[in-house]
Amino acid sequence: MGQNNGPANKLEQILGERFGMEILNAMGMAIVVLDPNFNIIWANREYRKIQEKPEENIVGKKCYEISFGHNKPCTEEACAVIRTLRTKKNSKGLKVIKRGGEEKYLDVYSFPLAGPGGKLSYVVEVIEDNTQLYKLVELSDRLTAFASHELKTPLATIHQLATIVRQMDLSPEKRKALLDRITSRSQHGLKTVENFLIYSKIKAGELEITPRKVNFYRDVLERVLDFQKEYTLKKGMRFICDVPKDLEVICDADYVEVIYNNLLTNAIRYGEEGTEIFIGYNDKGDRYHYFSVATVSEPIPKEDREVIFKRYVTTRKNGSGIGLDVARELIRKHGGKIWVEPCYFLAGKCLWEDTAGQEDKDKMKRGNNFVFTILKKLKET
Amino acid sequence: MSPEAKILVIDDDPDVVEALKIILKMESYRVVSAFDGEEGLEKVKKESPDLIILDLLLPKGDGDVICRELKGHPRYADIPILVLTAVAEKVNAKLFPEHKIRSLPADDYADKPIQPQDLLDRVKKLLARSREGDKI
Repeated sequence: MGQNNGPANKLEQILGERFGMEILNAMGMAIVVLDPNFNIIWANREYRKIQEKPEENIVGKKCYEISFGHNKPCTEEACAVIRTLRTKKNSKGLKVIKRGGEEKYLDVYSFPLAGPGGKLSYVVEVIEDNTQLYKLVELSDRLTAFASHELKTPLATIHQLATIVRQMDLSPEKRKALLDRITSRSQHGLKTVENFLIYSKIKAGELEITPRKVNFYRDVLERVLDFQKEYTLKKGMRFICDVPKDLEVICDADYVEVIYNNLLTNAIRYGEEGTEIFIGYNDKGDRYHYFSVATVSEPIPKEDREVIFKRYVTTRKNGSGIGLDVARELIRKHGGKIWVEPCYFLAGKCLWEDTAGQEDKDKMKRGNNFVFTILKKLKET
Repeated sequence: MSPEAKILVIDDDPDVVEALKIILKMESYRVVSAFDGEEGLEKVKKESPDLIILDLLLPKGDGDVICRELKGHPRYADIPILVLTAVAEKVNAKLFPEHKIRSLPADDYADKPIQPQDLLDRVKKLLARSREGDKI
């Protein structure tokens, strides 16, 4: 093939220098060309975006100055460009920079560009912003760690109690009491596992609900309250339930039970000892049933009120960050929404932001009210 | 050390406290308990235990903080502390920094669940070591 008719040459003829630049600028990856002294010769639009700097503040500057604010090159261990300069071969690495208080994880690939006589004239650095990917991997590791942590605690206790029953000489009453505890603790462990299984079904897009008309108090709340009772007693808390006993709702009772268990587990875990947990119901005459769980606890800051329902997000210690995410997805399947609002407590009553007077608010205990809705006219299956 | 030594169990799980009480009472130890960090510190001052069995993840003051506080206090530094936790060595220390137990100034560390005889042996050893220390 003749030198002037090769495909690369043909492409250059078709595109011309201007179009070539356009293509490089349109790419989702950052591209920067450096001379052997780390001076930036050219950078595409994505590079300027990552560095959050205009072109005139980039070209002619040293790359380490632009990326890290350093006044000397990075170490060879940390820098793909230095390795390419030394070996004259392709190299890759990971660069972590801070922009706007956030860490960016950048995968870096560097290539040597030879000038006349085969001498290395430039290094091209191609940078891929994989921050989302790295963060997802980190979050996934975190979820696995929390899942193991949440399961190991009840399992360790069950094993401890079972070892005692098996190895020690106990009275029949004591033996029965310990076996009751083993039953209760394993039930709690099963609920934790159930949450993770539902979570994986949601993630796979396989979760389907089976709505049926149920007596809400008998078929959902009684079961939940019975299950959660011992945990409230441990913290000297009690439930105040204001849901009509004859309320009929079309829903998937098993999954609504999971919603309540997740909300109440949080309410008990983060609620103030010796206080009440209010379980409410409201019919505003619109298309939805309104259910609520309110507890005396440190109010969730305004900026966190949406973020806490997102996958893996927990603003508290000891949380897997999936409880509220699972609740939100199950509520969505019931045609509803969930949100949290601040509330106030006075003499066994729970007041909302708009019903409590400013003067009263100062004297009252504060807390969080989780409200969720279920569509009234869900199609029964 | 007489078998009537007083042992303080600090753990927020009543089932664990009950289980440890059953085991320790087999050897006639007197057992007192606390269910959170704050109560734990109060009980140390009030009960003057001969040994403390301490969980790490506690409400109102984590076990690692209590451990450091007691070992840094001249009055309580000699009380042997056995850290007993469900997540000890195998846990991701980046996510659960309170579980970096090897850096704690405790006298012994064990993983939950613990075999009854293993617990009794460890307690016996710690109390004996503590008594030796008293003599010196």
